[in-house]
Amino acid sequence: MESLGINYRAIGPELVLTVTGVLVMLLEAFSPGKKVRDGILAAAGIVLAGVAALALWEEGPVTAFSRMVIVDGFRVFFTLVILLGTLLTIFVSWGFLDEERIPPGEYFALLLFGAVGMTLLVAGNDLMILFLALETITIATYVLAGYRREDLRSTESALKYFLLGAFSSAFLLYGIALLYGATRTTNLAEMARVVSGPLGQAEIVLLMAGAAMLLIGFGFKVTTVPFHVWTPDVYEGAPTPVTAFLSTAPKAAGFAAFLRVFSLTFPPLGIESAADQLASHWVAAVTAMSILSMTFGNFIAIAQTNIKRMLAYSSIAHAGYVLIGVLARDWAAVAFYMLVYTIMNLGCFAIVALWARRGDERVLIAEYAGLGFRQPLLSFPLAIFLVSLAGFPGTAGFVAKFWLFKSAWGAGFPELVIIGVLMTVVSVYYYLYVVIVMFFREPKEEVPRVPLSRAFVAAMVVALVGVFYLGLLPTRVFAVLNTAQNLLAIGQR
Amino acid sequence: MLKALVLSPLIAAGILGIFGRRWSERLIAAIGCGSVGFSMLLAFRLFFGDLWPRPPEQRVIWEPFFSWIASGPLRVDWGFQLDALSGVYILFVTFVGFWIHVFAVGYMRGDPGYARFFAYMNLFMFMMLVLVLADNFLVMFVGWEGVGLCSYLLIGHYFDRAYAASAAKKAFIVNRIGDFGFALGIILIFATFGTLRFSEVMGTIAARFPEPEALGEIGLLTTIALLLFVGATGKSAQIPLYVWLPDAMAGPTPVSALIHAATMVTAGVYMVARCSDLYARSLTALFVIAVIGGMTALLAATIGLAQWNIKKVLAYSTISQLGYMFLACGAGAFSAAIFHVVTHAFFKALLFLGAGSVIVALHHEEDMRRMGGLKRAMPLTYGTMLCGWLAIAGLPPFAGFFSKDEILWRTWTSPVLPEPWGRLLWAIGWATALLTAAYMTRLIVLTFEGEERFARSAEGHALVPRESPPVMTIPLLVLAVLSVSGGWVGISEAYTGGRIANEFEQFVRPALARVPVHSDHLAIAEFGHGMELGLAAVTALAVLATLIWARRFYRRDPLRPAPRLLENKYYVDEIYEALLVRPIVRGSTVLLWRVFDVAIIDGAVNGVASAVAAGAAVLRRLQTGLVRSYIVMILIGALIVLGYFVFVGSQFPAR
Amino acid sequence: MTTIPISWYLAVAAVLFTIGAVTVFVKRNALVMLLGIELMLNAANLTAVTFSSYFRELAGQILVFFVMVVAAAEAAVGLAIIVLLFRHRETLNVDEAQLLKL
Repeated sequence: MESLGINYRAIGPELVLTVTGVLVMLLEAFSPGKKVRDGILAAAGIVLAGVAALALWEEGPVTAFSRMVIVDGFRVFFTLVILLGTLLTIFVSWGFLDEERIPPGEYFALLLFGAVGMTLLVAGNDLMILFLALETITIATYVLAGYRREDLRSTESALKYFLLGAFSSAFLLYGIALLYGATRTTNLAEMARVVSGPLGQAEIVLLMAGAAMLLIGFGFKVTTVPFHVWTPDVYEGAPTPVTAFLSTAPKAAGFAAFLRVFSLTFPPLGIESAADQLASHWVAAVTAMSILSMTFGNFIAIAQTNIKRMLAYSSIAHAGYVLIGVLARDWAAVAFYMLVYTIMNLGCFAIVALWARRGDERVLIAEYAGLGFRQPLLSFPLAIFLVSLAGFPGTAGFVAKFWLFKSAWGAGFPELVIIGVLMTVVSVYYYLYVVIVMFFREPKEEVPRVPLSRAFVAAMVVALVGVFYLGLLPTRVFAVLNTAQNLLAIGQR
Repeated sequence: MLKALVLSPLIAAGILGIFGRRWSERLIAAIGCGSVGFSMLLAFRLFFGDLWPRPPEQRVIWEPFFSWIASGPLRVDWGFQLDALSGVYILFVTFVGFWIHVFAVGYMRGDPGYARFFAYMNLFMFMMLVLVLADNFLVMFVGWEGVGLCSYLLIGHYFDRAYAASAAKKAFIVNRIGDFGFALGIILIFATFGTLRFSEVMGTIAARFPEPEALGEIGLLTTIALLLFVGATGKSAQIPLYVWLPDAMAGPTPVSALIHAATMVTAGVYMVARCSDLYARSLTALFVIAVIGGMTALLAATIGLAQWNIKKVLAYSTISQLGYMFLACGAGAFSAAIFHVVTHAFFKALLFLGAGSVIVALHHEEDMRRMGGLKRAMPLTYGTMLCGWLAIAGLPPFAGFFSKDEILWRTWTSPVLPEPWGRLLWAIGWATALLTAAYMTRLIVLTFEGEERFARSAEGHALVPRESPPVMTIPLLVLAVLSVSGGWVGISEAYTGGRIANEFEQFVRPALARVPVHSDHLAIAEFGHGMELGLAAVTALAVLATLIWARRFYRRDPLRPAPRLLENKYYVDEIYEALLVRPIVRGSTVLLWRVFDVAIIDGAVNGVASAVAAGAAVLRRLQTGLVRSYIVMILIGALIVLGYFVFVGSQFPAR
Repeated sequence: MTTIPISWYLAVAAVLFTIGAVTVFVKRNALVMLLGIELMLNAANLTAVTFSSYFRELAGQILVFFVMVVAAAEAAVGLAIIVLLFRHRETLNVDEAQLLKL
């Protein structure tokens, strides 16, 4: 009988986050409204979780808790991306919490619980864990999306997110049940072993149906067409700092799970096996989803007048690019892309949130007119983040895209690369439009100066340094990812 | 030393960008010009002190900076490489750049965005140097996009003018279309060669692909070459992507002189020359380049004949001259192309600065219909402009004559162009030369000669144009001297009966590829010097005749109306707008967004729901609701995915 | 004693899932939609339990426990959102939630 493998270090980051979350919530209950205290505590918890995650780096590829949880470089890297996203979200939310009179402890606790779900999703080596982690994320984020209680838009956003999210979760769960029926296990490593051989006809049908359901569920979570429909509404209606969070960390986690399940558990083996039969079809389906996401996301973004909606469609388009990396089965490229995307997108949203003021009043692109030289500390960073999202060389966005496309070309997806590069060209149109409005349009009314909080400046500094560091000197991060990539193959078996 | 050369303008740009707003114009100008001047001195020192004395084969200085991307097989470093080709480039880029900066000190006086202007100009110099000195494709791409960004920022300098903003946007987007090809080309190069270093790609290309790809054969090299060339058509304003350059004239005139005439727009030519080993192995690509270059030269020259805005005439002239350069590349004469890049930088910068001097004197009037008779008030500007005029027209012994003649001769004798295209393109180039003489004469006559037309148009107060201050006229004089003498470094050996070789060609040749010779083609030597001299004499006489005729023609009636078709630039902008821009924007708004996301889903919700809930009472009360539309959308997607997996995927593979 | 074949259980689960999905998109009342989602979750549960007993293995049963807990939490949050919407709008009709469009 195999050992239970209880190893608390293996879930160190999750434990730290959970304890911090509970602590912050309790403190809120006993002495409410202490934003600075709660914020610093939450941030400290995140940093500590990061340390715990880094400590796992040395552990090497092992599993724990009856192979439910996996420890490898892949997990550590994604965990760090998620923690970075969460930390930046705390900075971004700083001013918003005061303006909206939101109890800070509750809010931070929900962020932390969401982060627990995400890190667990990355760590999960079992479909059960994946489901549990996904639900932890979504339940926390449903609440966050509806956080501005008196605003109907926020409530509506939460309702849509909830109904559609729960709907897609049902698909995911049914898929898990069917896969269990097909392979007699919910453990991914075990499942990979089972499908590497041939299966009977009945099992194949179950496997196919299960994988399809899973694909639908994941497609929803990472916002790919045609399961993207909720994204623009939810991103627009949710409070801007929450949108910033939703569009980055959970997506990074979602893509990690996507990779873990599809690229690693059902890889094209090249020999006659159930996995191979399945792979040829998920590859085709994901190819279609990727192309649809890139084209629809980019083209529809052109027509947007609301910057949050524009960034929502842009987010769909970026999901399309990342799917190319999933298809190329280069998880390091995906991980790097999600790191870069998290930084630049959060940077964008930080400024959008600040400029939107209380109650998200100023979110139309036209309302950015004249921001350019009147408040350069807002307009220049925003321009840099947008240019990075557009994949301009010298910025992180370029390096991420280049690696992704190069990898996909080598993996035999030239048509996707061509579409990807073409769509990048299209995307310039709408990213640049914001810059033009900021610098070249005269405002209709006097542009007020927005005061910059210290937390905002911190977020800006981190994001700007990130964009340029990863754009100009990413070698070190690349080396780390390459090391992790080599460890992965052993970890999965 | 290369690092200092490149970084000096960047540091200045940073300083000016951060502190410049509070400083006096004098200090800003000192820093802005000083940094470029410093780079210029270093460039001269490197070129004459280090590069020139070496034996030709060893003229490569390589300075790695630090590692940029290292992932598996992909290794890209920030590295700079100075060889004969980039040496020539940094020399004239920093030199012309410096004098244009000096001119701008006077031109931009009193502008509220003085510091911003110089910060962007310095940033541009940095990016241009990165582009030129890059030792691999990816770093070159950084510079390539960087100069585009700076050009965008500088075109939009007068951001309170709506057309400047739209011109900036147009320039940026058109360039991105070109970059699409360039980026794909880079990826394909990496996939083929496994490296992006110029020296490694160009060094191994002969071993990997011993036979050049024949005309009409679209092989791997041709694909790469053409993809890269798409990028060049964007940056260097060739058909079909030339439309942005005339609009780019909305920027300040020194910007037009530096970016849109002398340096950035020749980046495409530089790239082709840098990859000459690649292009020399694809006869199809060379042919395409030659034809596009020739067509662009002719088309732009005809449009230039009918423009009224002085800067637009010069813009079309630039497009036309760039066409010449590509014609030379396509004919396999890469050194002739680079030679023309250099002489063109001198005389076109001069012409633009002269135009700037006039524009300032007339309080930002750019319409030549409201100029005229300025030679009395502005003798220095007039005199130097005359040098530019004769240089671009190609009259011996001015600079343009030698470079243009070299291009025409090399086209006539091209070993790579199929019969009879060499002679056909020569004829196009020849006709363009005459057109050039005509439209430049028109510009000179309309601006400087005849009666003064500006007094009538000035609102209220009378205009009294005055000669520009020395800070502006000295750069004009310097460039005028070079417009006269700049061509003497590359005099064809035919003029000395073969006794003195073409110095310029001798110098750059080791950095460039030699094109393969067509089997059914005569070698150049067999044409003989006599024929070269004869053709040159015919061209020079024809140009002279055109100059005299055009001067009389336009003096008689300067304001004679131009053909509508030409004045409206063949309606190309309108055609692009109708065929490309509007459908895309409308398509996104109407088709994809409204129809796809709303109508189809709503339609589907009604359709599906009515099929499911057949009760008439329910049907009547059915409304479209967004949440449910989304659910239907997801459900339809889910059914497709599920159906595909289960019904297509579950089949056992045929054994 | 004859046992009921496994496919019957699976068929029931599939039918339940379909009914749930159809409920979600035919009904306009947010509460009823939530019921439909619960039905879908339980269909998945039934499938898992069926396989679990068929394989004589416990993973499926454990999954069901997890799902029950998660579903309860999800329902709690969902109901809170619905109540919030009702306070604003005095209706449970989701079709009226269309402030956010285009």
